[in-house]
Amino acid sequence: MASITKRLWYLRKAIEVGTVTKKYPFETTEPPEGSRGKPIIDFTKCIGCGACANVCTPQAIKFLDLEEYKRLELFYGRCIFCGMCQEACPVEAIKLTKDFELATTDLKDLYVILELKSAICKECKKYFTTKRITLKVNEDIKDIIEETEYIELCPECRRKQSSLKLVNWRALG
Amino acid sequence: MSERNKLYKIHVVDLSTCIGCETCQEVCSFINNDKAFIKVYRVHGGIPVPLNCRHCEKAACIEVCPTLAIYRDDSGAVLINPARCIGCKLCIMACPFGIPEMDPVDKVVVKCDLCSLRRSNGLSPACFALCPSAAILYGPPEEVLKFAQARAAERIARAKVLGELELGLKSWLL
Repeated sequence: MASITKRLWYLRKAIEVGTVTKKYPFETTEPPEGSRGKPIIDFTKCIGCGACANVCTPQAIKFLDLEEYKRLELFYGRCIFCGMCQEACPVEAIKLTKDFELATTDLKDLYVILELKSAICKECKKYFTTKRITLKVNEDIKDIIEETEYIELCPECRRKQSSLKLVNWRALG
Repeated sequence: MSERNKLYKIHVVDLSTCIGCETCQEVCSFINNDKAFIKVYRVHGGIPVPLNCRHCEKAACIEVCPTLAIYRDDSGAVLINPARCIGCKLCIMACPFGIPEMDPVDKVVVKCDLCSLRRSNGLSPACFALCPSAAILYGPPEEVLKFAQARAAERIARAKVLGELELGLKSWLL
């Protein structure tokens, strides 16, 4: 007898609540607060420093030095949505979204490729960093340093030139 | 740094007494796992210039670091906290002397820290301790200045004595 009353109770409950499941692929659901999905890169903000590639644990983000260009490759197929890149980015160009549905029939859809122009050293004519980094650094240090022409030199040329300057100052003084 | 405390010390290379033996470079690479943070450059075909982090008063690297990984300690040395460094290389691009370097294994920026481990044990930086010609000076600014002035005065006096000797020799010969 007890089992019949229990079953009736379940039946009443089911009628009260109604249908709770959704026809998922046809009906979209909002992911809960704090859930992590694929990261997106803001192309206008990225300076091409490669910090995200350094911290990326599954190596979904690769930073390649192609002389004239610096290339940032983001492959969603390897991404584990850990959010390390978002934490590392110094200019907040990379951010996680709630979008986790990455199923596709074409592998090329999972690649995001960003190419940034390299800066050329004035002295040795070699490519050494992206132009956006030199612009950002110039913007940051112009308050404390008056002469910022050295930004157009690569670190090795800066060393050579500063050691030359030190000797010349000694000769003068 | 507007107000300097008693611990403030400077690291200066006296180029007029440097003999270019590269002892500083060797001892630095010995301490820092085959990575020398003080390197001897040759300019004008042979004049040695030991170049290391200048620990600038207006440090551009501290200014650009987005994660505040670069900081200044009590003695005025500019240090990098490897736990906070994200390896964005902005400090490398901001340094007027091109000093910071990227560690390819740890993916963090490394540079001269004036031997912070040795200093915490009450010792002085290794390049200063081992320089055979005392060209590297390290200490409070006043003391370093006094030492350099005394050395310059001594050099002038010696040059004068030598010059007089030479003159006397010449007059005796001719």
